[in-house]
Amino acid sequence: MKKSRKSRLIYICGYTAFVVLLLLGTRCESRIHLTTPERDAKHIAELAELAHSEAELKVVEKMRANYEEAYRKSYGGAKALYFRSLVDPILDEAGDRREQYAMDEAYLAEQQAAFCGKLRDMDKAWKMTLGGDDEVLADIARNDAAIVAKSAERAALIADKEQLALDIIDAGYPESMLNKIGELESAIEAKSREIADIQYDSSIIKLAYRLQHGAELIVEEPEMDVLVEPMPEEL
Amino acid sequence: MKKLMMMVVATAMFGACCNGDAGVVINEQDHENIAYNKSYELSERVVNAKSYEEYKVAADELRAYEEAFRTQIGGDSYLIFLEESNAILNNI
Repeated sequence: MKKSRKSRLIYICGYTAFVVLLLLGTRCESRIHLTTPERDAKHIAELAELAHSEAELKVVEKMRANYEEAYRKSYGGAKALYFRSLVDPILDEAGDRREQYAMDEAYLAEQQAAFCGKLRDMDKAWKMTLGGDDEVLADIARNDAAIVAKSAERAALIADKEQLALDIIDAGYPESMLNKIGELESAIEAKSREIADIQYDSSIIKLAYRLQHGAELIVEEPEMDVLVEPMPEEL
Repeated sequence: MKKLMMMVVATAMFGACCNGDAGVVINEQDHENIAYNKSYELSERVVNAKSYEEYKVAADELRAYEEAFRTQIGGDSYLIFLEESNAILNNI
């Protein structure tokens, strides 16, 4: 009984010591070693110079905020403000590069998406089971007919929306009519997505034919008068 | 006998773990050249494949190089690799 109590005490002491050490460790890790505002500002400037992406720049900005906080806590507001006055122009300059970084990252993402998308399409096309030429042409013709029909439906929805917009102006913008125009916009978007899906399906069939037969599929272009209807966003 | 079996299984598992990391390693001294050459070579193989198996091998290798450039090199060489590959893949 006595032994059990002793071992329990040792366990509690050990656990407490572990927690204390852990907390101390965390505190030490997050502590910033301040030197002088000039030297710390120079350190931040060097890091800002090395930042080549928006994410890296954010890390530097966070660091600046931590240093400023540390100066405020250790030496008061005046020194913190002085540190800030040294660092802010440097970070402003780095911030000007942010737009360029964002553009570079968007371009890279576009290239990655194109790379993955093209390989995914080719995978799909190679795995597709194609029938004879007549069957493939019939599939394409069916898709073309569906595109023509859906484009006509979309054109009708666009016309309805335009008419409704005029009616709304005449009626003095009642909420019920504004909701209706929102519904029409959603319907137009849904129709555009359906058309895009069918076009994509046709493009995969054509790609599959090219890859599996090593030749271009010759398709007679359908009457596409309705297809040249403007997209909703162009209106 | 049981011990021997355990040792064989452990050795096999260790071997499997070690081989798991084996992949494409890009030479850091010459990554720009490799980006140009490999993207051209592999993308050409992908678009000119005569069978699904041939395509699969080339596409897997192309993907492995893409991952290697993304994770090991990044920056301009990775972008070169993507741009060059896309230029060829989009021709099909």
